[in-house]
Amino acid sequence: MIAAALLAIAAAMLLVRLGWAGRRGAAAAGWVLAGGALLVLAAGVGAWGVATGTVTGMAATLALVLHAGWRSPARVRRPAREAPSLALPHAPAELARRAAVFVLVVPAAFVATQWLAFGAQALARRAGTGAADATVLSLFLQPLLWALLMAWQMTRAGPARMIAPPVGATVLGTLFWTLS
Amino acid sequence: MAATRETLVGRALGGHAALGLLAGALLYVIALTGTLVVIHERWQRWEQPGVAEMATLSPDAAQAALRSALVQDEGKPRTTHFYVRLPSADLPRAVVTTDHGGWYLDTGGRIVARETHGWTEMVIGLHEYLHLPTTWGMMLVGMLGVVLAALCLTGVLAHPRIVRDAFRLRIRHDPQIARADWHNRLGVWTLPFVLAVTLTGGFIGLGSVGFGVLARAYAGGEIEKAYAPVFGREPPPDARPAPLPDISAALRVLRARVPDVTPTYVIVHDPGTRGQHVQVVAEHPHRLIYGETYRFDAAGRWHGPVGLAGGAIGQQAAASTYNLHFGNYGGPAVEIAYLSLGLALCVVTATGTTLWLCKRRRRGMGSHRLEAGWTAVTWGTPLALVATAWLRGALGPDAPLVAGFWGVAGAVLAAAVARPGLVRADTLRTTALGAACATGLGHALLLRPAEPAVLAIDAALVGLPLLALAGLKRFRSGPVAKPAPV
Repeated sequence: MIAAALLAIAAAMLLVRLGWAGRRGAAAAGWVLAGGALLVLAAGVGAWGVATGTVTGMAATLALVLHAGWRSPARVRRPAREAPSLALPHAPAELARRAAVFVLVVPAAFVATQWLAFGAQALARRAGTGAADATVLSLFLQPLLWALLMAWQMTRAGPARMIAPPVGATVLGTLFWTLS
Repeated sequence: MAATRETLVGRALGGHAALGLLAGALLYVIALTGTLVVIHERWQRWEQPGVAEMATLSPDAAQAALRSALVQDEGKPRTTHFYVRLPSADLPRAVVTTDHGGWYLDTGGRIVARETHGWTEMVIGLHEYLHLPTTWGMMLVGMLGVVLAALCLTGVLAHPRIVRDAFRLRIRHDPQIARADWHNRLGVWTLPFVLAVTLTGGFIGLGSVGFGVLARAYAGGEIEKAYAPVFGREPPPDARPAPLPDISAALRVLRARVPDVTPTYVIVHDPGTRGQHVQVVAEHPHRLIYGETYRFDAAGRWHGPVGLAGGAIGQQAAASTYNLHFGNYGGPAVEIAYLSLGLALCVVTATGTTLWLCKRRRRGMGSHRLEAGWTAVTWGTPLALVATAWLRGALGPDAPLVAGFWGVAGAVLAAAVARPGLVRADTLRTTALGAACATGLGHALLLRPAEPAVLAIDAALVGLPLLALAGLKRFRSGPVAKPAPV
């Protein structure tokens, strides 16, 4: 059963590749087949099956992408036209801006998400969650929340707009803690 | 609406580049060493190919190992723990470890050789804590894992043609387009893997902070009490002397009670005291958890499992992070997949900064120093890893490998900054790949390993660089386009 599901996932990614190049229906069928095979694995062997199936899908797709690269034709080099998305700072004001971004995204967001994760686990304990589940909830939430907050902050236009996410996380954490 | 979307894409690209520049070099080092660490037990065998291997260690031999280690430790302070590592498919060797070192065992539990895989440990140390003090280094690596997760998220937001370009890899196009395709395609298709390893890495690396906070809040600052709900609590110590525990009985009881698991470690806490107790870690088939911890008293009487396999969902999730991170839950097939995905992450990390440098140069802001510096990081790091393997071979197990790695990597970087013309990407790449190839060849010829698994690593060290060098010829783009007539 496991081998059949893994083979189905590899075949599904081939269908996705074929569908991408031509008939869209094949891609949709590929995704459905991959999802179905993952469900079979999840039902049969749980998280181990989902992890193994996902790795199989990624490995198969990687092979297909590399095959596409191998067959790509050689082209001439094009002239310059794009500007870099980020330039190195020179002026003191620009350096200060970068330093402010660092402080907001690294230490401030780290502390804010640590507090939010702690508040969430405190609320979970209050709701009757066991100590093990609450502890692990806190440990998993912190890096996840920090990554989300960091991504959110880094898509803001400037440091002033990066303040709200950690402040919001701190307020939410405090609310959770108060309710617990 | 379109303008808003473009603005978000632009901001996401800017944020993505800023995060990449902040952490790119360290992320690359962690990704490269993490790729190697996937098969760390095979590297351990490769590093000491002459040690006898075995499929199993009997309970009586495990018991004898304790006595052997005690004799080995004579004249030294009494060890606080014994660890008996039982043979497995990846490392078919038995090892007994005390506070003073580790020794390989024969099938009778007698010590046959010192465990000296300093190079493998150096690579693991570089991946797990960048050779910094362990706690601080693990925190930094955990933080870098979070940065990489945020890079994934901003990268997806900055990639509006994610579906349209899903299988487009123009590796023989203009270098900037080729690198953008490598970066985007591999980045997108390895996304589940990268998110899994970064978030589990964040969990592992930042766990000390989280447990510290919980210990302060709920356990009066005692970190062991904060660990207890997840990994089990230890009985109170009692330093009065006692005979060594009966671990052979513990192993027999385990086999009788849970016959379908594979014991991997026997851990004796506070050996030789009345407070001593025994834990046996055992792998469960088709599970992500690293194992269940079964507890026994000094007489080998059953005290039950901690709950990592069948306890609270949080315990099972916590115990699953390690295998999910290191890729050791599905045998050689998953290991090879993790190696490939890890290499893909190295390519994504390396091409990200190279792409930024390409764009600077096209804008007329090129910097030979920056470009040479990045070349020094991308190809100097593998070169330094290979150089330390040779250092280990030349000077023996006690060679200064950490200093050797940073010395070589630092020297290449210093040369790039001082004389950018000296550090050319193609030269350094050929040197690094050639050195890896020579290492495999030299290892096979000088040490003549007998085990097929060790020879397979030598074959990979010789074959893969040759394959890469041959493949790189195909990746070259065409000539530069002539400017259009005005």
